[in-house]
Amino acid sequence: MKQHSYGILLLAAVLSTLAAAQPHTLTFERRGDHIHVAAPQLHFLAGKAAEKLQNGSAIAYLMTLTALPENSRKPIFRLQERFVFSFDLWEEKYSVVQSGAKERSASRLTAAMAEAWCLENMPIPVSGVPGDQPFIVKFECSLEQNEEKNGENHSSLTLARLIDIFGRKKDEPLPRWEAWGRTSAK
Amino acid sequence: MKNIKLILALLILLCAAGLKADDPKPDSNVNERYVVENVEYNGIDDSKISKTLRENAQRMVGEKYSEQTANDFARQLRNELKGYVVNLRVERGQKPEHVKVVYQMKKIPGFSFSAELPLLVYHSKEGFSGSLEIPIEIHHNVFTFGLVSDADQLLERNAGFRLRYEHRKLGTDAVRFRMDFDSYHQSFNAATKTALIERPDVPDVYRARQNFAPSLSAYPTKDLMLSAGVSFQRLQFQTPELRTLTAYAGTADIRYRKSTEPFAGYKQNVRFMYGLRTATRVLESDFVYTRHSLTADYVLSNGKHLFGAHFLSGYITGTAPLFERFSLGSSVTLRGWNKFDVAPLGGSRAAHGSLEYRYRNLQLFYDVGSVWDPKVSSPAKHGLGFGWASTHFFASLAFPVRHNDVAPVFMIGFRE
Repeated sequence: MKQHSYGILLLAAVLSTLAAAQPHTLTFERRGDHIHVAAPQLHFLAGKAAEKLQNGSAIAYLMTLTALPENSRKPIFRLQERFVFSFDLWEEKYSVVQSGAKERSASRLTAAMAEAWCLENMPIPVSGVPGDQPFIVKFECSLEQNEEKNGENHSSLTLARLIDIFGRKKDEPLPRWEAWGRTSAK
Repeated sequence: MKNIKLILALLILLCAAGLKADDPKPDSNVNERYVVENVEYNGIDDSKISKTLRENAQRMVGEKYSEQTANDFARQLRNELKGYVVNLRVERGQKPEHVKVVYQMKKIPGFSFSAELPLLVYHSKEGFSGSLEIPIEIHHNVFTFGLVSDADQLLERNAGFRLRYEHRKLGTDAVRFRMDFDSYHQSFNAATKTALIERPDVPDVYRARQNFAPSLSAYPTKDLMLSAGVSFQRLQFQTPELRTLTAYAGTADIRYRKSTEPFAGYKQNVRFMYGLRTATRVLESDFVYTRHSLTADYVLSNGKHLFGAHFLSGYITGTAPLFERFSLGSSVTLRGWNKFDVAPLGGSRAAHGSLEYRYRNLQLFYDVGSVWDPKVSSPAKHGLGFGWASTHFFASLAFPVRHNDVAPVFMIGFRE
């Protein structure tokens, strides 16, 4: 009986690992001339980034939506946007600013609402994708690298800095999130 | 009716403006609408951060939080605090709509390196004196290599190198072990050599000096340091023949430093140091003597005003080599005087007092002191001067108080 329980636990662990490794799926909704994308299972306001936000810093994310034909790797549509997040320390809610030409913003959002707001503001125009064939949409999200390396002294070249440069471990890669989905313009 | 329409239009515009104002500006941090309540440093003693930097940070208090300003300051901290990781954190303040800016400092484990200039002084009578130290810190071990050429502190100009090993945590942070090795070549002023002819009781000049000094220090409180050790000094004499004599001494030091929190705007700093060196036949020393030295400083400050009183005294019994004898007339003592005019051989007794007043960095000072031997009296001498003084930097012009040959002495430099 005990061995049976261990087997179930092992199976559950394997299945949960496989589920975590699966890419997140996108959902689509056509509204007028645009296809709106959502990734309800994808949460990028997590881990160290969330910790940094809750420590009062603003963080910029780069988000890319790419539409690809099913049988080709050549994108038929690509949209990249930059979103700056911050966490209101008194209201304990997120604020997002979509930088660039559009300069939209929203505040007093929960983490899930803030994540959804970004995708909501990245619609795919129906005119930009084939009307008669299904296509694949890929969503990529990453943190913008603009941080100064901690512990570095930029004022002068010192022996300490040389030792640091030659002795430094490789930087941890920045976290990335991905989601995929299949849809059509119909 | 027209008025109602106008009011409605204005209301709509105001609402729109209000909604717009509520949203964060593009690329801004939503917390930038809050006021900075205070700035805190964690993981480091505040005194390790320069006064200028602390004052700059204090300017954030009372202003709207700016992430860029806070990050700029974090960058300045990283530049100043080599070997530390500096992280910025913003927290809710005590008052509503206020935030607290916290800089979290963490020492980078393993290795840190910096070059330090504990002394760099120009004295118009003595020339340049300076030392450069390179400490290398590995965990609780600090290895220091230093170069020195100093004519300011002693009767001799000693030029050479210093090696130091310090273990800063001998079981506990409160106990430290230290080992010094110094090697110097000496040169003496002609006035000292001439004066020696008439004073056979004072040991001759030497051309080289080496010192090996292990010691153990304890810090029963953060203000008090007790230290005990031994100092093995070897001196190479050239006359009457080439020979090496030893000054092997037991050493003990007590240091006390206390700063009080400002009361009614007044802040007090007290410092007291006592040092004992006793060279004895028990340690197979050629020179036998006991040297006591005592320094005390009292500083009272209130805003831009500072008043300081400093006292130094020394007493030697037995026959001590020249490097142990007291001398006055440096960049710290009896300013305005040339030490070789005061006493070219120094003395086995010394007493010195100094008063200073500073308004911001402008300084006025008065020194009085005397150095003598038991059977050779020496009248007290006075010096007056003014200059610019900050925590580490000083530039001053001092005059000896006497009837003739009132030549000013100019001094400039950095001092720890």
